[in-house]
Amino acid sequence: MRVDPRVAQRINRFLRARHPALDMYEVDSLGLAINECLENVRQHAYENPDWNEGWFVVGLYDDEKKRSSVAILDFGVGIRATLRRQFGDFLGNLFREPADYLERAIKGIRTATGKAHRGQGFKFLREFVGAEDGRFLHVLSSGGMVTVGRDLLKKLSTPTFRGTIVCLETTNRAKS
Amino acid sequence: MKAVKHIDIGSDYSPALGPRYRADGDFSGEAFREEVLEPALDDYETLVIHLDNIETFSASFFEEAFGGLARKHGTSVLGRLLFDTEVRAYLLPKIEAWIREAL
Repeated sequence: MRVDPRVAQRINRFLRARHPALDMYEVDSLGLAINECLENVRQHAYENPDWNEGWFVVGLYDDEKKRSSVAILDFGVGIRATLRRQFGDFLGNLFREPADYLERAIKGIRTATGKAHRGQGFKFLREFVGAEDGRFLHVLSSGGMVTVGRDLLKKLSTPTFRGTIVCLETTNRAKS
Repeated sequence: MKAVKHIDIGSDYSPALGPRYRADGDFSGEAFREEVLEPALDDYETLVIHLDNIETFSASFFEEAFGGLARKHGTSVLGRLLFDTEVRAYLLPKIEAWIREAL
């Protein structure tokens, strides 16, 4: 199961065709969300990166709301288990709720790779959603959900399911 | 050594850029560094990297390609690189930050 960059390319082409006035920062961020998530799935989600348990990537355009979205779903161990695999009980003492793990993952924590030069993808996406209203990054995993937007951080508990869903959305009403 | 080589990543390499490492997927930052950047730096004093024909990318591609170049060859090599874009001006400070944080 290797990352195929043509997946993001195809979805970006679809979204640009549906909403041609999306600016380059928006288009790049939607594609980057796909590429970064697929790379994370390959490296972290499954016990063995070559196991082919698969992933789903969805591109969605809502013409009424002028909202473009991408969602990436995997069936892996989830973010909480990935972090615990690296940090063990240390994180368990810091974070009580599942959403706390997700918030930490979005804000940047070194997971299994543990290298300082990793993790710029979520930083890019945090900056993107923080730059304007109408942009949101949602992460669901391990019984929790975090939504990040401009001046927004919302954490919820959710039913537990196996895997992780990441969704990035941008609303651009000013343009056709 | 020749003076300047222009590298249009989207046209000369791939419009859809891949992950950090070869093992993780095609058109990776590692492959771009080893197959394109490093050979070009052997022959040319300055590389002009054009960004406008890229369609999709990841941060890890740029970290590995250019940050990896600096880790391997030292920061002085970065002085031989110029980035050119008309449509992705927003990306230039981010690339600079990715390279800086990769060191």
